[in-house]
Amino acid sequence: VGHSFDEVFAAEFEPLHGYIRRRLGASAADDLTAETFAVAYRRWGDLDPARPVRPWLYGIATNLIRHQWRKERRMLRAYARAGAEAPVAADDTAVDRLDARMERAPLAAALSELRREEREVLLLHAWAELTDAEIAESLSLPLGTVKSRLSRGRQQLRNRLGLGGQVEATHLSTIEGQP
Amino acid sequence: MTNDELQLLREFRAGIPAPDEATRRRIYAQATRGRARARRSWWRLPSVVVAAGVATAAVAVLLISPWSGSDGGLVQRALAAIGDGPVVHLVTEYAPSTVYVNLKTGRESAGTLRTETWFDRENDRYRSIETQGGRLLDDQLGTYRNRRGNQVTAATHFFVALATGLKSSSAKLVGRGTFDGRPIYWLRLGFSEVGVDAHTYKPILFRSRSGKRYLYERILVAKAIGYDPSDFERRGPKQMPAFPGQLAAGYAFGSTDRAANGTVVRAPWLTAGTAVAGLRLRAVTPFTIRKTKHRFSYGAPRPEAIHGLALVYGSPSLAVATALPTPVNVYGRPRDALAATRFTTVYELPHAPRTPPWFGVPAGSVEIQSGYTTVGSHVVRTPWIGYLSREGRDITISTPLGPHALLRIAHGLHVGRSGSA
Repeated sequence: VGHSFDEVFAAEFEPLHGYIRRRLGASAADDLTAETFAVAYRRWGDLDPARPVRPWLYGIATNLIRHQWRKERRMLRAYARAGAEAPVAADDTAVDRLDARMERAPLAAALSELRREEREVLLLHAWAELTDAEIAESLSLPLGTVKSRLSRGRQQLRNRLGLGGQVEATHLSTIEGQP
Repeated sequence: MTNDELQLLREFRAGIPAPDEATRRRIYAQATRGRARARRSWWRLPSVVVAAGVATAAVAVLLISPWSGSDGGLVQRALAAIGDGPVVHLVTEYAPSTVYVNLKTGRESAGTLRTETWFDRENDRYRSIETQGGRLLDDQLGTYRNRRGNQVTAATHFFVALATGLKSSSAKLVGRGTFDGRPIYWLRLGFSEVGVDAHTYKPILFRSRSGKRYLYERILVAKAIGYDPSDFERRGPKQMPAFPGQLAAGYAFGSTDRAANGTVVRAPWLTAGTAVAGLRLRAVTPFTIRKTKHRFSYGAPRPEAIHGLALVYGSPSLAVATALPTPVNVYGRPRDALAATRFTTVYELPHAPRTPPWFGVPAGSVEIQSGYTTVGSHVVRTPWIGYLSREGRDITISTPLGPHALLRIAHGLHVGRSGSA
């Protein structure tokens, strides 16, 4: 393996923690990040030197996240209920609560409506910034399957967000006028 | 297919704050303990015993001869160059990611930020001064243990750890390089590294990881010196929590107030006119920021409620109903990602003295923050932001159109007349 565990931890901890935190919330992020690195640490000696580390690491994380699919669905629904008090964990920060309450409701709603397989690929692409080939490596899928899931996921997201047309906004109080 | 949905997703992801150092260390410890647990099976016991014996011997050697090792005594010489006084004194410089543009001359400048810190290890006292272009921006006193947020830089953490923890710890030589034409050794302690001059052994460059990138600070002074009470006397402004070149800490949200419809917006206020930079004025909206525990509670003393005004410019083809990003963020990064990519907004607040980020902007200039920013290893596109103060107003310009449009708006701002809003 070209890198030591410490080097990989130093480089990947923050992005991976952020990725898991956005998917499952702050309270789960610490536990799952630790578990992901613990699995990686245990299997470090088994890692094929020819394989890149990053997709392997996100593959481990993805498997762990799959066990938490109910939590992810709750999280996305909480985000989607803009204006309501979202059921965030007690240890989440004020910014988390603001995040959950105030914004990104349509996006969260659209994400929650995607099939898990498509959401997984889409978020690995957009949030973890893995290439299609890396996602294929990470999820042990054929490259073509990754491309088609990504394309479908993006298209569905676009449709649900109405990105081709006008965006609705219902909570605005705008006043037309001239200075 | 455009990339709008990917952009939205990335901005959604970008709002996540980075975990702190304590979390990082705890998770590292948990992860590596996981291996130890997995190995605690009976058939592995002999190797565990052997490994423990080797580890104990290694620790004993370190305690007896802490500075000798594979680095050939480099750590010891670096420490000798720092000194052994009870006060860690550190001066570092770094280039901010922003630029100031003088609106009269067009001249651009990027004032280098300098941080000077003293940390009294014995009495747990801490002082930090921020200057820019020789101008004192920030002077803080406190205790190191009770430090908050930005008050202690990563470099200070590093040198405090170096000076206090090295004798039983693990600074090690991890590489070589050059800086300013001088050969340096890289010493790593934890997740940060210091570049030590290969001839004088003085630390001259500091870097800490941010995702896959390093953030660099030039070290001007790194010494462990004797205690001098005057080093711990504040002489400048008190407790300024945000520095130029950074976003102010947190958001200041305002709410549009339906009850405000029909009220009169009183002069003086500023406008860039009904059309500027190819955009038309689409809405003029008063907003109110109410002081709460988490909102706008820092900086200069502020009233309980601050009344501001937002001018929203956009393409005539866009729907007016989407015009005002809400909730209002007077620092210019709307939490509504769609609005951020479609509209240009000018926020105006009554001027408040010593309130960042406007405080750090030289008179007659606008501070411009790039529309690209790095969050960990991710580069995300955000609005271009401009800060300036004029005619008794603190102004923020937020636009996705780039620096030229932002400058045209800043140039075009002039006092409007009172009007019914």
